[in-house]
Amino acid sequence: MLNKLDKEFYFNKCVLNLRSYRQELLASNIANSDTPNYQPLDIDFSKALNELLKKNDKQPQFQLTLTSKKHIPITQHKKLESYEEMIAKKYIIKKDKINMDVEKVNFINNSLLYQMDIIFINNKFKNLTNVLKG
Amino acid sequence: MSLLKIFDIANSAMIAQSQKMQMHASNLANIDSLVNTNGKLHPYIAKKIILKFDNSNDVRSGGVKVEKIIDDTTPLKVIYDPNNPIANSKGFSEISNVNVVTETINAISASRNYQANLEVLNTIKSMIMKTLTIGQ
Repeated sequence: MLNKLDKEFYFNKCVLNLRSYRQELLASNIANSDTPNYQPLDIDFSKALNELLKKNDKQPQFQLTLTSKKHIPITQHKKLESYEEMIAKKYIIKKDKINMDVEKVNFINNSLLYQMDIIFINNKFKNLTNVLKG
Repeated sequence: MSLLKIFDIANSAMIAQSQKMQMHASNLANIDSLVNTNGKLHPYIAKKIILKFDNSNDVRSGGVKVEKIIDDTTPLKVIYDPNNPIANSKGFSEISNVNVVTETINAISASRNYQANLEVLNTIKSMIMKTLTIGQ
């Protein structure tokens, strides 16, 4: 049951994490609008999200209970690296010059999309509780 | 949680920008001042603030900090003013290199940046409040 819940909300989890990381980068861009030689950063959202979702497919769909040390698990668990490390390695876009208007619009846009995802999560919870109540 | 980090980023930017506004106000206020250095009177030299990107422990995002305060290198103007205490034997005296137009515009720009960061704070606050409603 908990495994299913986890799978159900995996997509929303990824989106929220990515959005909040992007929000951080955009806030840093706005804060440094006056700093000489500052290079504004952004993330390649769709590619980063695709990568995260692919990682989910590789994870084992079900697990066997191991009662002895000699039992062999189905697949070896690999520890997922943190989002920020993964994204920082591949999906950071560097821009040459800062444009305050673009940054502000992106910031507001990103915050609305974040709140939209939260509403989706709440709706999913409502659906689940409705089903449980019958 | 990275949303809470944004509070620090916006906070540092607001501190830096308000310090900048303070500097411009001080430049404008002291446009006619004389400064006493080593027993000699000099006209007031305009000051400038250099901002720096502040990313401690090697993360991508970061706030702002004031790196240093430097003297404006614009040359001093010389006017004919024999009554001025620092006038030379021919009656010419140097006056401060504060440029009123530049200072005013830079002060307005700093105040706009301050407002932008305040808005960032408000947006983040509403995002965090929304996050706390998950599952209610």
